[in-house]
Amino acid sequence: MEIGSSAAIQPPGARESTLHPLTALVPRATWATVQAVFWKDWRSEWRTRAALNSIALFSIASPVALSFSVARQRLEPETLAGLLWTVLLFAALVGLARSFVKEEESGTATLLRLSCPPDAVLWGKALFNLVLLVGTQAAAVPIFVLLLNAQLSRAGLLLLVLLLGDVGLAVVSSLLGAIASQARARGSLFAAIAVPLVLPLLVAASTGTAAAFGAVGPQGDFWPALQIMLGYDVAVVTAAWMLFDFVWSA
Amino acid sequence: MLCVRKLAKRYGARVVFRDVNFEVEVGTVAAVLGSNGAGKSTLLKIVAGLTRPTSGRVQWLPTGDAQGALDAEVLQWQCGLAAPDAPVYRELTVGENLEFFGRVRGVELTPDAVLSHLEKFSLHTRRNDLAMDLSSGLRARLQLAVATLHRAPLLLLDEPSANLDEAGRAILQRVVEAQREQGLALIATNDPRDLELCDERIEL
Repeated sequence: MEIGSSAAIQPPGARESTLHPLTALVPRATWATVQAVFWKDWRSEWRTRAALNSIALFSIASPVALSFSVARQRLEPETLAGLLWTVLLFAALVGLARSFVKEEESGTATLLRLSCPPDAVLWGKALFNLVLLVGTQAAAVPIFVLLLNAQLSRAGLLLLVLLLGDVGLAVVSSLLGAIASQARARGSLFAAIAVPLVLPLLVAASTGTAAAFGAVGPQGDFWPALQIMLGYDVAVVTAAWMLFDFVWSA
Repeated sequence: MLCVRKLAKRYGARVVFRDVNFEVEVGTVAAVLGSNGAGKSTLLKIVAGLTRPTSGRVQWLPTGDAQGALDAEVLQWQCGLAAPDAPVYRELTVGENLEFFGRVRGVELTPDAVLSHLEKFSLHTRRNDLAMDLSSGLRARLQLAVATLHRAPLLLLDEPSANLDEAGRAILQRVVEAQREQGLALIATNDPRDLELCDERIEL
């Protein structure tokens, strides 16, 4: 009986090692491998809904609770923006580390490390986290705007701020999720190291969102906030790209 | 040839093993023997590049020539592993597991190729079942199917017979025989039936 279906390992995008010219091939991430990780996580999440339920419940329940606690009050755009990003941040903290934590808890991280290029793991899971964030926010943000009577004067700006914020959150939580998942106190460690790191993003996102909600004066000038968010995203994407191999293989 | 020199592993003050030396030629199946806690599974993980040794080195010499030695980073991609603590994805179906590990390994699998590979492990009728719905024996067969998907030159099997019935053991025997043709295998075991499959013994 012949077991197996191909002659040798030669993954797409492989690079040659300096040690052996013919067989020393270390696979690199390609779009196909990133997609494979993304769809694996998506199928798995869709069947268990572990992270989706946590994030969706927090994202939707918080605006409802807030609407009761501040009933009849007219909140300033800056306050509304701060509340929105606090809700989105904690919703992300609740669910985004799950993709890595689950790999470690179920033991599947072993085969994933052995089979999959580290870059593909990072970007596949970051893409999964981004889609998860965007999907839940598509429901949570309209509920927040409606229940808290936010005046949406610049919808396009809000979408741009949300997208830039989500990219930063997704990449940071993927990198930190990989670190935290290897510790015993996984949940608390992730929150403890994530909050300080996302504060710059949170401040800029709140400023940009306040402008989208109609803030005037210094808070209405959204360009510096967008520049900070873009710079933050570039910085965390670069840091994740450079550090993940070390974190994942440690 | 797999070449292990002065390998040692220690967790804090506890020494798992030290001064382990052996060579295994291509075409050979070697049993890794030792009592519980002797470090059989740890040795396999070090060979696979999943755990760092405290000291010593593991080299893969594809041509038997020391100058062509591959380092641990590369060795990892030459391995297939089936072990109780390296499970497949329980929330994916049997077919999806095979497709995922094939894609990340760079093996493009057509639906027919997936079916054909599963037939070799008598799993083709369970292709659309979730891995979590399989018995432990069938999950062990699925682990073997994943480990052999990319025809790894180095196959690492940890307690492979633990959950297998007679039919499963016949499949394991065929896997090991096929591995002799394309590389070598290390089997960590205490099961006398597994020893019958092996040519050499490595005592820890």
